[in-house]
Order: sequence, then structure tokens, then C-alpha cells
Amino acid sequence: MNSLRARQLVSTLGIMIVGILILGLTLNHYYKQSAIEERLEKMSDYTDELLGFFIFNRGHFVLDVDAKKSFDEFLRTNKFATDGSDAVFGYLQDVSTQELLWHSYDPYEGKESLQKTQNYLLTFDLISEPNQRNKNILRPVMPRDPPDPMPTVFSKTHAVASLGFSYSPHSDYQLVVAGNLQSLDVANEQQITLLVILFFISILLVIVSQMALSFWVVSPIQYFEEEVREIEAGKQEFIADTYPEELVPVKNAINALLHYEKGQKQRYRDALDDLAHSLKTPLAAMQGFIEQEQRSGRGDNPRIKGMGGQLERMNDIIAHQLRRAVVHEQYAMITPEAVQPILKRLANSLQKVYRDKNIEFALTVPEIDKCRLEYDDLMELFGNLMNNSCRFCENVVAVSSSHEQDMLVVDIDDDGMGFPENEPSKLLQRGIRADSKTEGQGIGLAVSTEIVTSVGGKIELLTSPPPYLGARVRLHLPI
Amino acid sequence: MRVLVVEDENDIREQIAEELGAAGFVVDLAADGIQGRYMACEYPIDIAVIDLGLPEVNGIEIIEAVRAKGLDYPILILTARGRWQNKVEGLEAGADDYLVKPYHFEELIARLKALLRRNNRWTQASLVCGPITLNTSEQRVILNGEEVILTAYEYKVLEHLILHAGEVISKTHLTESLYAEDSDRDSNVIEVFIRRLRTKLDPDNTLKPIETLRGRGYRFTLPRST
Repeated sequence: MNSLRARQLVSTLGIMIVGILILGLTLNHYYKQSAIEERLEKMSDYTDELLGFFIFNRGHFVLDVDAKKSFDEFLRTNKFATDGSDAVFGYLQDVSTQELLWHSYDPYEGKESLQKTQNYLLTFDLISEPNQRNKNILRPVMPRDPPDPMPTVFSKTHAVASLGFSYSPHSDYQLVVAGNLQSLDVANEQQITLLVILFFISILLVIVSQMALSFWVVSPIQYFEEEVREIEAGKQEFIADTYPEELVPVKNAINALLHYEKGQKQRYRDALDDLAHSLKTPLAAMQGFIEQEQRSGRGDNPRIKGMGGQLERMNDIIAHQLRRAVVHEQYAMITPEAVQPILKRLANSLQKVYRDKNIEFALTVPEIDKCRLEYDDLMELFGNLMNNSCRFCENVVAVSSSHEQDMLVVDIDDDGMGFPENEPSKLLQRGIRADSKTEGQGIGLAVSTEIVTSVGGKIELLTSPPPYLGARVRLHLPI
Repeated sequence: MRVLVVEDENDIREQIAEELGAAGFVVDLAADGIQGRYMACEYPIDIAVIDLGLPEVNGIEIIEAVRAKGLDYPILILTARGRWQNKVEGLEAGADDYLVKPYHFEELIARLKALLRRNNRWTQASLVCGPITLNTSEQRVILNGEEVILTAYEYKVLEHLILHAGEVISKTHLTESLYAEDSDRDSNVIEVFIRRLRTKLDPDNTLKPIETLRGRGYRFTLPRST
């Protein structure tokens, strides 16, 4: 996963999904438990209230006739009924005999009547000691002779509260009130549905917020990337914009690296220049001595002649190796350089040097044409090639350019006698010169080839098309 | 011709002085940039050979100072720094040509003579004015197809006059072009050379190639042949 945005989106979504799931389940559990507790508490309260309506008289529980209205009201208000998802029922039981004395399904019937319908009455496997309160989640006891079909309420869990009490010497009793928990299951399902809806809404919000965050958080990185590309394209030298503090160390490190590399290149070139100077000056002095010896008549001495030859060779090696050292130095970032200003500088300088020839320079390279070569290398490349053209031309040197895929093609033409027909490519090899009489180390074309090939370019020796019909050097330089 | 050589390497400086002296130049030497700049700006020189890598003041600064002073004599850069960047910087500063070390003396002398000719609007090694031809590379003078035998000093005076054909050359300038700064000079020697040249080049006194302008100097009167 290479995209920062994708990473951020996936990580946030993952956290959100797991978080919402854990939170939803926890909330659901908590609410369910609270609802059950509340229901149990309510059942417990009902036992107290319900017991208030009974009067114990000589071993029997009877209802207060005066309170019948309020008893009915109590049963109705609190949903004492036979069915319904939130139905409540209660019963009074002799603990020792397990005999039902009263049941809310038939609130005005005696125990004899209850025995007839006991198969339909709900009871629980529960014994409460006197003065003992119990609260439990229980399923009703299955009747001994189950009706067909079996009412579904027998399979439902109930919140059950019981209160044990004793009327000595008669017996111990318990009053049990139970409420169906089916309504809680319905509420629970609704809550889960709500949580699922909330979950998807959250996901949607995360995606939307993520896009906003991407713009806000990732945009500095995008600007940073753009600046690096501008540097690579040679449009700026360093990363200049202001960035969030997290990116500042990266910006400083890159700028320091660029600065170091730039200085390093200059130091390297200067060191080579100094080396060239310190080697060539004594060579010049030695060559001077030898020439003077030759002129004074001692030049026929084979040792003097041999020394002269070795000096020429040394000079050739020094020039070639120094040039190679500069050309073969690979740098991390080569910025494209405009060609036209370099051509103009060279043309002006060469016009001075070859003033006698009155050379006409026809430069038709557009200002925008650039290639990926160091300024010094371009100067060296075009300096060597244009100087050759000036040496061999009649009076015209033309430089033109065109584009070929990702290469800038530069043609340097002259109206001279052209390259020798026999294998002109030999001239690109070190040490072979077209004209041995003129100044130079015989490495101009070879060095140009090395410069061009070091950056993946190509050099060709051709014949100029009309009207020049002289030599054409064609360069393919990376843009 | 008076040439200034600014070179900090003793051996090279002495070699150049010897070779240019043998080629007929009057040579002034400077061993560092400060001395070189002073001599280049103050001495009546005809051409300069300047090394780029000099202590104190570098060659480019000397060339800029010369051109800033309005002096237009030719300057040849002599440098061990053979990169085109260095050559172009020197030429842009005001130099006219460059020569990379190590070099051959023949080439140095040929370049200097070519620059001198070019500076006086001559394009060939043979300077032709009427029936007189002066070949600077062979140092020979031909009159109507026959060689005229001249002494070294006579040749130098004639070369200087023909190079500046049509211009007035003062006696002082001619003297300074012929003799080194510290040499003994006879005030009448120029008149002697001029008289001998008139005799050799115009025995019938019909051409009148050298005109004397009283109080101002001499002028070579024959027109340049194109």
C-alpha cells in the first residue's frame, strides 16, 4: 500500500469499525442489564404492593372488598394480564405444600378453582424463606399435563421477584410476581438495529472526514513533492516553502544535501583544475627547455627527442584522464540546462578567436531547448565541437535543434570539406585527429563522446545537408 | 614590437622572453599580477601574453583593467586551465586569443604575429603596400619582386610602420618598440634607420614610402593592397 491517503483511510476505518463494535456491544450489554435490573426491581415493588391487598384471616387469604376497585386498578395499570410482550402476573403460594392460593390470571377465584386450571397457570421453581426476597431471571415450570398447543409464554424468560413470609402457626407463604422479558428482547433488537445504522453512518462520516483530512493533512506533502520535482526540473535550487513542523527536518536535510552536493561538485572541479594547472605548468617549462635545446643544435640527441615524445604523451594522458574524471563523476541530480545561452557565449568568443575567417554563426536553437547536462559539461561539449567547426569551415557554422522522443537533437554543421569518407567514427576515438597541424590534444571529439555517452546520449558524424555540405555532428542529448 | 609577458613561473617566463626576443620582439616581463597589471596599463606595449593563474591579481583582472582603461592592444591568454569555461571567461573579459600549456614556441609566436596583423586590419602574413611586400612569418621584404636585404632593426622599424600604414607613429613609440626598457638608446638612431630604409626601398626617390611629420613622427604612405 504505497499511498499515504490509502494507509490513513484503512487505518482510520479499521479503528472506527473495531471501536464502534466494542462500544456498541458494551452499550448494548449495559442497557440490557439495566433494563433487566429495573424490571426485577419493579417486580419486587409489585410484591409489596400486591401483598397489601390481601388480608390473612384464620388461615385464609382474602381480598379486602373495599379495596377491590383499587385492586383492579392496580392490576390493570401494571399490566397484570395473560398475554402480551410486557405481561405481568403474580401468584400466592403455600411454600410447604406448593399449593397455589391465588393467581393473577384468575384473581377472584379460590384455590379449588385454581386447581382446575393449574395447567395454564405459570409458576416458577422457587422457594422463598420467610422474610426473604429473591430476584431472578427464570423460565416458568412446565405443567405436568401440558396443554396442546403449549402457549409460547412457557418458553419465555421472566423477571421474577418473590417475597417469603410466615403466619405462625399456619404456614410459610411466598408471593411471586413475574414479568415477561419479551419486550426487552424487542427493545434490544431495536437498539441493535439503531447501532448498525449508526455504524454505517459513522463509516460514511469517516470517509467524508478522511477526504477533508487528506486535503488538510496530506496537502503539505503534495506541495513538498511538487517542490522536489521543480528542483529536479531545474526550476528551483532548494525547497523554499514553509511546511508543518513534522516536515521541517526532512526539508532541512534535503536542502543540506543539495547544498553539499552542489559545493562538492564545485570543489571537485576546482581541485581538478588546480591539479591540471600544477601538472601542466612544469610540463610546459620542460617542453620549452627541450625546444630550446633542439634549436641550439643539440636537438638531434636521441635522448632529447625521446624526452620530447614522452612529454607529449604525458600531456595527452593528463588532459584525457582529468577530463574523464570530471565526466565520469555521477551526481544524484542533474538539472536541465538551457543550450542557447551557452551557444551564444561560445559563438561570441570563437568569433574573436577566428576573426580572420569572418565566420558567420547561424544559431537557430530556441531559448526553451534544454538538456540534462551540467553547465560545465555543455560548455566543454559545444566548445570542442564548435571550435572544430570553426577550424574546418569556409565561413559558416550553423547550430540547430529538434526533438526526438525524450531527446534533444542538436546538429552542428559547417561548410568545410566534411569528415573523411573512410570510417569517420574513428575520429570519435581518443588520439585520432582530423587535422594534426592545429592546436589541441586530439581528444576533443573523444571527450565530447564521453560527455554525451555518460548521460545516455549519442553522437553521430554525418554530412551536412545543402546548402552547407560540410561536416555535421549530430548530438542526441537527454531532456 | 613590444610585448608584455605576465607569467609567474620563472622558467617559462625566461623561456618566452628568450624565444620572443629571438623572434624580434622587445619583451617586458612581469612575475606577478600586481606588477603585470601596472605594466599592462602604463607601458607603451603593442601586445601582451598573460597567464590566467597568477598570484595576487589574476589574469582576468589584468585584462579587465586594460580594457577598462581603453587600451585596445591584442592580448593572448596563456593558461594551463584548458576548460572552455576558462577560455570563454578570458575572451569575454577582453582577451583576443588563448593558448593552452604546454605549447610550442612556433605556435606562440605565430599567434602573436597574427594578432598584431589582425589588430591593424591585416589578414594575411604578407603585408603588401604598393610594390613593397613584407612577409611577417619569413621576415623578408620584397620590392618589385626582388628581396631587399635589411638589418634586424631596419626590418623591425619597417614592420612597425607597415603594420600601422597610414597612421602617424611617434619617434618615441618607435624607439620603445625597438628597445627594452633598461637598454641604452641613441636619440638619433631612429633617424638613421629611416634614412637607410628610404635608401633601400626608394633608391630613385620616386615612391616616397616614409613621410616625416615634423615634431610628430613618421607615416608609411603607400596604400595597403587588398
